[in-house]
Amino acid sequence: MKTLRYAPLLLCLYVSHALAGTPINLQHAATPTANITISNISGEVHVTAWDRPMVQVEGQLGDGAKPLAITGSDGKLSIEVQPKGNGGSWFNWDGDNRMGPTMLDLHVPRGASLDVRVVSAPLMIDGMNGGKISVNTVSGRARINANIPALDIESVSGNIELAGHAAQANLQTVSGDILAPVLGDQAKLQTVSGHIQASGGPWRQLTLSTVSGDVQLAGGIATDGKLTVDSMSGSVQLQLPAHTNAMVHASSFSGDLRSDTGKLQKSEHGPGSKLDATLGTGKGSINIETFSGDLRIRTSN
Amino acid sequence: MNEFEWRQQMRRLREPVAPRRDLWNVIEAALEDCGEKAARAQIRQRASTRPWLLAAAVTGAFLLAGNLGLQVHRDASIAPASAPALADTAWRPSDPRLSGAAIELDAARIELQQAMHQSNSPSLQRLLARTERQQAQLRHFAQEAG
Repeated sequence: MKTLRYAPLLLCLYVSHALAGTPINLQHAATPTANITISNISGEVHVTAWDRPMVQVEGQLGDGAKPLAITGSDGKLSIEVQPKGNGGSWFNWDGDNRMGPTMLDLHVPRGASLDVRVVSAPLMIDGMNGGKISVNTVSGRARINANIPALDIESVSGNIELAGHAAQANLQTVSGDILAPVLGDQAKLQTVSGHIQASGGPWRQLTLSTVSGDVQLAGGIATDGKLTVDSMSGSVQLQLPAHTNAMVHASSFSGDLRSDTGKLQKSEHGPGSKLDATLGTGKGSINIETFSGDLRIRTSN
Repeated sequence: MNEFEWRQQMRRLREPVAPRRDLWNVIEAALEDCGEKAARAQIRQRASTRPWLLAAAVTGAFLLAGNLGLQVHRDASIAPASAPALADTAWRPSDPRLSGAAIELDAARIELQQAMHQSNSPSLQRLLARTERQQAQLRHFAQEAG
């Protein structure tokens, strides 16, 4: 009698377990610098570096997905979550609707290069060292903690959070925020309306552009380094370290321009203000322009 | 809520909001109405005192009305032509995951073009070129999505 009372509960548990997706447990040998392609539409992707010449994939495969396999050779592997049937492209809208979220938990060789494509799945990459990383995401957040020579992230609305160090970084969003506290010596940051908060340096070349997103930038430039910031209506705050050696040129059409250094010149007729200053030896070049965004330049003492 | 999310919400508050009802047409109609009423009142007053001006005033009123009619007709013929032109330039992907970004990129492009009417700085030109490149990338992405 007691068993009968709990029968609906047991049935619910059984059904929810059956719908939870298929467990994944795959392994494949890999060279220490293998090129690995990963794609997933929804769910999650976690990539953790380890010191074994092997790729391991665990997690749960979403309902409606094709059975997952690691394809390719030891030097070039591919793990792609795809909907069942001939759905055309890997991330088409119909396929997304037909398929449940897939959780991927991968372990890959530390020096491998990654090419990750996700749609709404948040991505986390941790501990990579030496290889290149390329990420393409629509709305999934990308968190990268790595020490790598090159990082390339293109996101639509997903935020980008970068920890560790990328000597060369190219980060681009439409509306996603960019948080990069340790930017390497060459970086290109671009957004339409996302907020950019970045620091690091000394930068040999840093190009930053925003249409309406605000920017907070803190760091210095290398000898002969070049820093360029273009903004339309986003406000820009630049914090330069003491002993910066650069020629600074800043201008704004209608935004409020303030600076700890240099002399501000306001246009006699009509709007507009600009500032030119030489810091230290003046070898580097800092060029900041806004249209209607406010601009603030601070120098540490 | 962390600082990033807080800032994101703050930015959303800054976005322009279109009025629910466009009052310009009502104001314009009211102004025209006032003008016509005043003109008619003046004609009546002058007609009582100076009958010989009646013919000239009526002719003037007809000319004004004709001119207004012509202008209204011209505006009406221009408006439908410009509306599809604007609609054509605004690309909307069928994939709902990309449509928000398409709207945002298009709004940014239009804002940049408007800003360039006031200041044709190289900075704005660079921003416009990058925004158009992002639009092209999104189109490519939408094509890939099928």
